[in-house]
Amino acid sequence: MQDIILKLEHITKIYPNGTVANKDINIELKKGEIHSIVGENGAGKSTLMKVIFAIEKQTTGKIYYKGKEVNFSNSMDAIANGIGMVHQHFMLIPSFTVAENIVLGAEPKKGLFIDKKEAVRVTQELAKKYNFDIDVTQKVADLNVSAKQKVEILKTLYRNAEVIILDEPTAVLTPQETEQLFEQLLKFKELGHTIVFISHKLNEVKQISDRVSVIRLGESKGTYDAEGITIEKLTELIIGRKLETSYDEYRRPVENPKMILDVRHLSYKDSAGVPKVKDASFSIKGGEILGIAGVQGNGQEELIRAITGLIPFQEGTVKICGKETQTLTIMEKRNAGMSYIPEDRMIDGCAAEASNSDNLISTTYTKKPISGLVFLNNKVIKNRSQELIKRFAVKTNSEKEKVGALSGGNIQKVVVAREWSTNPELMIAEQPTRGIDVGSANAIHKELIEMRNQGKGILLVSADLNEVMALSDRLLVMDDGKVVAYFDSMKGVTESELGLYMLGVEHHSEEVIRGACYEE
Amino acid sequence: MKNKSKNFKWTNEGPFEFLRIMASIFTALLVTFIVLCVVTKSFALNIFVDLLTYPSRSMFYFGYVLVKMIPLCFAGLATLLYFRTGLFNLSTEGVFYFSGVVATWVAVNPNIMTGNEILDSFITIMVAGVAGALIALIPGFLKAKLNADEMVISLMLNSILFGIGYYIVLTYLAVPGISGTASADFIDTARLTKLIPKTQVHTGLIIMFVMVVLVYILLFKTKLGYAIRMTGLNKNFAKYSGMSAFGLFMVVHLLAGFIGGMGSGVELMGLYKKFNWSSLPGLGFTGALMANIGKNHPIGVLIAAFGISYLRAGAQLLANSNPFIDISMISIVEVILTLLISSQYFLRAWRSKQMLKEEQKNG
Repeated sequence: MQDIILKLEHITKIYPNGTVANKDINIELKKGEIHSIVGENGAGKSTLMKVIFAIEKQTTGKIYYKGKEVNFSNSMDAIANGIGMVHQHFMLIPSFTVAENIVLGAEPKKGLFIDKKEAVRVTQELAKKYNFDIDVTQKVADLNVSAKQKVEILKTLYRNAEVIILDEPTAVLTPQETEQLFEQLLKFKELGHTIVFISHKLNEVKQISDRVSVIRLGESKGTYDAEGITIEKLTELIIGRKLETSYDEYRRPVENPKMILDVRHLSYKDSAGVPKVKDASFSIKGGEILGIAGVQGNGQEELIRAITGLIPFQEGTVKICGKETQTLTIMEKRNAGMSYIPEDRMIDGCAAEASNSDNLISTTYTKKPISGLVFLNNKVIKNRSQELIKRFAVKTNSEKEKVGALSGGNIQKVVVAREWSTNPELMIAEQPTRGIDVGSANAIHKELIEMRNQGKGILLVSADLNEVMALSDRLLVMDDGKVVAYFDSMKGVTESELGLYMLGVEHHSEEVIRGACYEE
Repeated sequence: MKNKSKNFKWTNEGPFEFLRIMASIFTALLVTFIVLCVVTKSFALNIFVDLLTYPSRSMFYFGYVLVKMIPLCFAGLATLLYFRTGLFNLSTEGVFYFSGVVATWVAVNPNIMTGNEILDSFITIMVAGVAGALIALIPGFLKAKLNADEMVISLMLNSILFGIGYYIVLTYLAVPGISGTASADFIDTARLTKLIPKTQVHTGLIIMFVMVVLVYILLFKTKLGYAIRMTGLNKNFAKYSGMSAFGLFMVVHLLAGFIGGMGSGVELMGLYKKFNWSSLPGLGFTGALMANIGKNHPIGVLIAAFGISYLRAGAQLLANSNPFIDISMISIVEVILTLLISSQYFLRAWRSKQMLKEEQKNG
């Protein structure tokens, strides 16, 4: 149908620390197509996008844009030439209005000042042209995630982007919002824009794109027509082997389960006095996974941080294995049987500059036989680290390698291995597979199921609906700090049904939600 | 994706780091040479060679290098404990001065001194250490309890400690009738004995080596050292893992203060007959310099202390014989060294180019 708008030829990118992120990659984008780029985390997708968008400079290789070789000096240059990018983490100013955010950097002027009226008019027109339903005079701080994403997209359109790169745009959206986004993408396509769509969700990729390019270990594994390729085949190309998708066959029943976690009427207000968690109650017995679903930022994070002791909560009780924990330190909670895979592995989950073995012992280093009264037992640490690395199949040169040199999926495996190694009663898994590849995610899921089968209690929080639905025995949905729905079994629960609860369109009665607590 | 080959390559992390430090030293020396040429308005190659070889021309000179590295090393060890914990504390400066005053009070006091050589110097140095530890608890407590900025506090504290210390010296320790302010002579048994005859080298050198080993063991072999390293690398991670920042900050300040205080005691009892310091010794910043050049590693600090002491001695000796040379000139070398060694990106471009070549060769 169309001519080539952007062509990547033999792109190789080596980072200063020696990581070869891209190796001789060739990709052609046709004008007016939706082109997906898929690959495991650490495969080099993000780096490739950064190269296109001139955030990183390729080590060798050429980029042709509209038939001419280009060498953008920075991302402003790329934007000026009609390439736009919507990042995973939004780059908006919360206290500005939608219109102000959109025109930021290229404001309509009236003399020396910004012409606010003109800004509102222009952005309204833009929103109308592309069928965006958004009030441009609203402050960005008041918008929900999907609306913020719309603002990001409008920002690129305002700068006349012809090629729009969307980095995992659906990761933060509910199924309904995703549908909406896809309609808009099709509209862009109709108007002649080229879309680069990056995602881990292969069904979405297959649904929306015209063509798919696969990257594995920094190398291109070909470009395919989306119609002509199955999800199974794509998965195989991405991870280099076949993969199972359901965990039901791994589940084993557990006899005489103990009460592991009992949360009653927990409420938390942040330092500004804003209630973030409102009267949450639920309990977990051994041998089950309780999932918490919800759009990100609806109190799940605060709930977990309150339970684990990273933030103090104001009301309610949290009992871990029968022990009241409100006044306990994190160390004491861990000793009571708690383990915690944190949401952000780089902030809380690891010390990137420290070695694998240092990272693997941080929760056990005070215990025998890892240490005595004063000294660490380096021999035990070495053996243990090697065992854990082997058991969790962490891809690394040795236990002495820095964790920061590993890919995201392998760092996460180190975190999971460490939390597993304390032999906990309660495992709190917060976004345990966010941003990591299918292979690693699959391995971590199996570990969680295995722990469940051994009679541990698992609290799982995830923004990925597929994950929560595949793993959970019981499920809570949170919206606006409240528990709005409770399912005592995952049978017959559908994604779109959950979406309605997540968006606050529907909610369960108090009585149903009370079912989340076991009577003692 | 990663370089899997186990063969030795200059681009591997360890050798590359070594190469980088060597290149830093070379650059710093080159700049020194240029500065020498400029100040003497000539091609100053022989002066430059003098600078580098003077200290090793006689045993006495070399002994001077060894003696002068002791306080540098102690200050570096104390500061590296702070840095490893992620604290930018420069209180070693004030600690050094004040502990010196306290050590003096002990060392001139016949009621405390027993007359046994080993015991008396031990008591004096320990008292200095304990004094340092207690002083360091002030910024430690303020940091741990109130989250006060330790750098600001420690800088303010330095002036306060000097003020109080100087007051104590003037009012209680100064002996009338001598020009300048100085204490009475230390009791002989409190002073450290000579280690190498015909030089100034005293037994403090051995104490210094012992401390380097102890700090190394502390950092890499003990639970406490592990907590220090993890907290310094990522304090959120440490908190999440269950480590208590409060306790750790207090202990680190105690230890670093103790090392600083000890260093002061060793310096005084080794090199001085009486207390006559009339200004802060400047070891807060120098300690930071040592920790930085030594890459926050005790062995690194030892080497840095020797290197800097050597250069300073060279400049000092040169300054005695050449009117164009000033001792403070050597601070140029120190600063350039620190700058280059702590610059993460220095030589990075060269390394990635080499790696690209390898990658292309291997296909």
